Amino acid sequence: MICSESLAISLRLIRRFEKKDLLHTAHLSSLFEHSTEGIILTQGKGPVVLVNPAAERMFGYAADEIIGQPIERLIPQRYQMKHIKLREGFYNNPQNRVMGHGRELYGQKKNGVEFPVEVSLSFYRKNDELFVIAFIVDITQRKKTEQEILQQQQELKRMANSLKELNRDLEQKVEERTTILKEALQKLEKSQIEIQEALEKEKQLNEIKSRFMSIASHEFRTPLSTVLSSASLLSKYSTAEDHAKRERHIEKIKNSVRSLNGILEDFLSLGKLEEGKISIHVDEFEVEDFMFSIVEEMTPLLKPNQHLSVHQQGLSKATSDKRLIKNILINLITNAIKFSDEGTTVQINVTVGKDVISFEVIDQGIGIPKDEFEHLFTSFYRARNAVNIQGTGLGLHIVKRYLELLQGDIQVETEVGKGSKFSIQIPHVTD
Amino acid sequence: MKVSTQQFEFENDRWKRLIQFIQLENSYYKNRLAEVIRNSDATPEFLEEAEFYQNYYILQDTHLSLLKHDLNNFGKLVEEEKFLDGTVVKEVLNKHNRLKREIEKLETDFHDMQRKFSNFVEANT
Repeated sequence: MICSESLAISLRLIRRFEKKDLLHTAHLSSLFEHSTEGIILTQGKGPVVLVNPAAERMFGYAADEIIGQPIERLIPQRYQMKHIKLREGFYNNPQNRVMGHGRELYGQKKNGVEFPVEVSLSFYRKNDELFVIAFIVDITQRKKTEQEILQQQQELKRMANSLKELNRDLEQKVEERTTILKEALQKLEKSQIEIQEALEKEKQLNEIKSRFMSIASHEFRTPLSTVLSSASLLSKYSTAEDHAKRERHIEKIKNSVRSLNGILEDFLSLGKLEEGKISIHVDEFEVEDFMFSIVEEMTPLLKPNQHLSVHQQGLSKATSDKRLIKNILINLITNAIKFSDEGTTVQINVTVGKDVISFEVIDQGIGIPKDEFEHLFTSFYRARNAVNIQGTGLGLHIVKRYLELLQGDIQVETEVGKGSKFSIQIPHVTD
Repeated sequence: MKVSTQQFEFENDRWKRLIQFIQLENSYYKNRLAEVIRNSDATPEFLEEAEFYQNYYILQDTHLSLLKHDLNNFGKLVEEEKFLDGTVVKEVLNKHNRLKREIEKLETDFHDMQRKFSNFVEANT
């Protein structure tokens, strides 16, 4: 019983094994038949033993056309010799080789068309005979795609290079254009500055014209009217006795012309002319010549037997505004002559020091009441004892103002009925 | 003490205009004097008086130019006052008062001399 049971079990097992083996063989056969990869089995020495349908389609041969043929038949002729050597090497030292490993391989169809393949090799031995299984994949499409990718890459590279070159050209052009633009901008800026300068000059010129009109209508009238009135008076002094008066008016005309000239010069030296500004004109001058010209101008005013006496000491030259000092002295001397009697002497002392020029104008005139000192230099002021003598009340005021402009000083010593002494000190002006 | 500078500026401008006017008037008077002299008999008395007027107007010209100079400086001082916020106010006030007195005297004297000169011209034409 036990035996029969054991036998039954053994039989069941055998059947199962047989069944399993059969199933396995069928699967293997399907795998072989339906594989999309070409499978070629060769005997170690070269002849093809087995070819699957995929390999038949790949190479264009029917299985019976290729079975028994050397494997080199499926390889382009130029590789056949080399392949034989490689195959012999493989035979001597067989090793499995995976797909896509190393070299580029090509197959050859029956119609002679070559196509790229990828081959993996494996081997087994049976009855001391070496069998080699080759799995072959037609990689024409992949190669084509790779080629296309390669071409595209090359195209891309070429395009990139072109772009680089283009970019370089563009950069160069940009640089060139920038330089041109920069130069143009610089030129533009320069011309803008030039235009601005021209505009400024034009404005200045217009301003000068306006100022000239203003000066012509106001400033010029003053000296011109003096010239006209002096010329009229001059024409009325025709006798020899009137010579001094003529000289005096000629001097006034000259002064007016100088004044006109001064206004013009100030006007021409742009910017110097400021409405209402009295400018100081500093000069170095010979004091002796200067005093001589003053005495000459003042002499015609002297009353009968009146004398002008000048005493000079110290340095010979002074530096200051000659015109203003002359005006100061003429005012003081005019007063001294006017307020002194005939036969008196007007003494002028001049001391030119290193830093200061001092003048003294001493007369033997009516003197000034002490209580009037306070107002002496104010405008339009006339001392009580002078109201009967024609005067303007402006002379001493102008003297004081001119001295202020020259940073000078003035003192008066006086005694009614005995005379006055005006002392002034003017520092040398160094501009 | 903070003082508004506007009034000072206004007065300064008015004074400048007044001086300009008197300067012009002086020139007209000197020109008129020249005409009167040209058409006169030129007696010594007449000439002495004519000399006086000419001297007066010449001195007045100088006086006016000095006043103009002062007004100019005063204008600058007032301008400074605007920025210094009262620090020069005493100086401004002093100068303003002094100039005001000067201008008043100038106006008085100008009208006085205007009248005298008109009389002189009337008597000699």
